[in-house]
Amino acid sequence: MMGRPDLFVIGRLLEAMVNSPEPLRRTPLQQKAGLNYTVFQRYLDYLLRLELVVETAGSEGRLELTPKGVEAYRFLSEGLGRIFKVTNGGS
Amino acid sequence: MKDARGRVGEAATPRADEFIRGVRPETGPRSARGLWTDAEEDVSVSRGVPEPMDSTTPANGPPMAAIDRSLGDLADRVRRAVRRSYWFSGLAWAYGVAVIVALLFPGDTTVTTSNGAIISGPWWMQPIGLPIFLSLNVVVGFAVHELLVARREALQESVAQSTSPPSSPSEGGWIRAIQESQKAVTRMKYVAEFAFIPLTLGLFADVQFCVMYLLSGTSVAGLSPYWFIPGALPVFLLAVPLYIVARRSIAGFQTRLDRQVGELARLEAEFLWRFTGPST
Repeated sequence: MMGRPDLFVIGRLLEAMVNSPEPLRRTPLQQKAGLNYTVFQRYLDYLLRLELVVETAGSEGRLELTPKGVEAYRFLSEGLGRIFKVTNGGS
Repeated sequence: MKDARGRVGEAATPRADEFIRGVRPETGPRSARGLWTDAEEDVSVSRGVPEPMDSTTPANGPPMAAIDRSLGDLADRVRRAVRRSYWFSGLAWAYGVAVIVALLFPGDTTVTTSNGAIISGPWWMQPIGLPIFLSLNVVVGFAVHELLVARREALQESVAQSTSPPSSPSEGGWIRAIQESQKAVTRMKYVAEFAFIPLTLGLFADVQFCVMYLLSGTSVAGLSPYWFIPGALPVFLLAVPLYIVARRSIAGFQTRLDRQVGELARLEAEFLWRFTGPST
């Protein structure tokens, strides 16, 4: 059972998938998000439950974003960028 | 995902009246809605199988790395501003205490002035007294410098100017960092405010002494009842404006951090509402 989710962690996970040209396996995703295994596993379960991420049908163990996941990433990156005054260019 | 009006993400947003009544939106998946209250809920009962997204779909908004970097900069800036204000406080207290101790330090001496008069008084009436008290003003200069640097750190609006690589703390790290920054700025406010007490007293006594010393041999010496005026002048011309500036900049810093914490909480609530449904 997860408490309050950390939006920054969710954002990093979703971004790693958005930026990846192909569906990612768990380990590269964990490395790209810079999370330890326990936290990664918890958040991945959470994202799967929310249907922001799905396991790719063809290749087992690979993960990709759903449209809802992309929408969630947009929502988070725009919201966090607005709060912390970071523009679209990344600076 | 855009609706007919081109708005992003509106389709999954429940209506406000549903939120008020605590009705779960029909558009949200059951598994997601139940996450916070019923962890054992079966994922298989959720609505349909989600459609995978083409990963080349562009996403708006700044990358998370820039946000991480921005937050790292913010935390660094708070640390620097707090450190500067502590230096200001230390120097102000050192200055105030030094002036008061110097003035109250016992030790009567007899001084022969340039016109041959013999005056008996405390040690600081000797010629060495003036340079000592004047040099103490250098400490005020350093203190003011530290305060102004702290103010500059606090007023910097853009937070994403660093070229350092983004740091990505573990879960809850940024939230904690912002909350700690809030606490640090509150401490900084008290520290800076209290430092104005010795600074003001020291300035008053120091400048008054210097003026008295310089004027003691002149015809103005007869105006001794008004000698508090030169001492009060730097207080009004330096300490009070400085206090106002410090207070405003620290309050501005506090307000900005409070606003960010509030907006983060709102974003979190909106995220939970939009993507998981009400968690009541």
